Amino acid sequence: MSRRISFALLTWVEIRKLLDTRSSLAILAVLTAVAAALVVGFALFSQSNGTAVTFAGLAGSIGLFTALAMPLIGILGMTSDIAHRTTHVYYPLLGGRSGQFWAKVTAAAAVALALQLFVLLLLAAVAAAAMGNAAAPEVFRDAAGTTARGVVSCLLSTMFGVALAAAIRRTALAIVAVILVTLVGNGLILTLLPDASGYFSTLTAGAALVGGPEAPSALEVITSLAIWYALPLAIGWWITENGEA
Amino acid sequence: MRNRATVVASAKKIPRGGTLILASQSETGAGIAFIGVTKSYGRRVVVDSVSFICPPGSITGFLGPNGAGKSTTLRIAAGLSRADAGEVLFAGRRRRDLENPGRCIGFVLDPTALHPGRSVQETLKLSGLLLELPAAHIDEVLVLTGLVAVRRKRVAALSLGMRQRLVLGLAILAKPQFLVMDEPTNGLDADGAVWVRNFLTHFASEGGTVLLSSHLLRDVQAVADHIVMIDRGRIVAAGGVAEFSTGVGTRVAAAEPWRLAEVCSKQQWPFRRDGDTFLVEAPPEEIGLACLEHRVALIHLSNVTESALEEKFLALTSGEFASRNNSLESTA
Repeated sequence: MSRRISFALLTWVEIRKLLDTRSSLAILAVLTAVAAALVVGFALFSQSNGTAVTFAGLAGSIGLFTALAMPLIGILGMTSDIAHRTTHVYYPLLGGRSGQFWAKVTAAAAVALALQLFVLLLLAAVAAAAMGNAAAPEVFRDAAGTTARGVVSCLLSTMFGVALAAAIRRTALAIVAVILVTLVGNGLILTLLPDASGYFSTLTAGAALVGGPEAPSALEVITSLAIWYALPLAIGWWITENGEA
Repeated sequence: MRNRATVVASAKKIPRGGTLILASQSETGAGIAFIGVTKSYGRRVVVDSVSFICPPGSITGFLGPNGAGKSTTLRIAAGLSRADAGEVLFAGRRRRDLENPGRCIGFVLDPTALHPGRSVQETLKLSGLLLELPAAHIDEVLVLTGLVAVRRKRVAALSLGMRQRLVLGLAILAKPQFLVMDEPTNGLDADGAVWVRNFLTHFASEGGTVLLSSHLLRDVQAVADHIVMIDRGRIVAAGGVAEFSTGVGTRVAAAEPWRLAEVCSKQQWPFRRDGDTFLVEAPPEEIGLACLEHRVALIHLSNVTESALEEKFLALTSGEFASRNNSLESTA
């Protein structure tokens, strides 16, 4: 009797599905090129202004890129099978759908993390190249903290895309939703609910990573994570489990 | 050995609200068993207490007009839709309870449900990876389905027939014990259709169980051992294919139909009028000779055994269509 498909195998197949078509490779190539252009552009701009190029400074330059590009990987990972109805091929192979759902979540995180690590390596290389006479400790001050924040920020952004895509289940709609919520929704929340924006903004968890006196409270972080991550992910999981394929 | 003798249920029309009696519990143990499967969308009952068995080592043809509930029944078997009531059992176990369902059951459902940007080989490889199959299986299936030449092509570049071959390849990749197929010859050329028929016959002869849904009655008749007919979500008839194919007789048309009727009456052959022709319960050779003897000019004479299934199918469903059309007209 054959054994059950392991979660590791499901995840590996989902990672492969994220990378095995020309269009997905093209998207990843474009994202990498955009990240590289942003980093190099920021480094050149800083040098021309006489500002020191640091690893942390370069990492800050790709904040918006991470916020907008990483959700795209999550969206593609979650909606590809639905968009092409390949659920008709894969669901019959599996005993249940939950395993594949969480494998998709893990695979999207893994691919996004790989891209983020590549970008961080690029940041380090550009910072080292632009170092000139500056001392290495100055350029790479808090490199470990910056890297850790970059990784967590990447995971948050990816999971934001994953969660919205899981609930919305349409690639284009999910992309529009991510862009609207990130660029417009957060601004609206801040304007309309200035005192309670920490509870409803998608940026709250990211702001908690930065810390400082303006850092949101634990309750704000938990509420924001529940609204923008846990709830849509739970809705998506429920639809996957109970909906028609 | 192929189990041709096993009959699922008597080949009579099942009355509305009636229950199909399953042949024996031993048959449900090794084959595919649909037990009281029911599915509704809103208030519309699409599949209504469907029960039948596909015995092991045989091919069961699943016939019905469009919208009869065939595809929904197969979707439930594949786990794409959830039944409101009832079970589908494979060798006595629910699909989701099998350790690795993809290794035991192959499904051919929709040739358009493939990622257009993925290559043929990669599509097969992904399923092979999931099912932990050796790479040799993929090469074998590529050869078997005639897809070697297009293995590197993207699915978007394939014709419907080629996609159908790929879906068939996916279904047989793990050399499963059960095959559930919805219109598997759809889009295939004549060679492809013959290949499918031969493959299914061989598969069943090796002990495999096949459920073959098709609107191409001749395709079903050519390979099926058992027939299950469904209309408006209910099983309307089921039985061995021989039960649908015998005792129908000969279709005859004469220049002077009343004289043909006289000949039949004299010979005491049961007959009935069917449009411009007669259906006579006698062999064509005897009818030909008798008509020659009585100098009755025939303009058509054919054994209708081959199309008996089709006639039964039309007879069983025509009333339903008529009542459906009437209700539509009255609604309009």
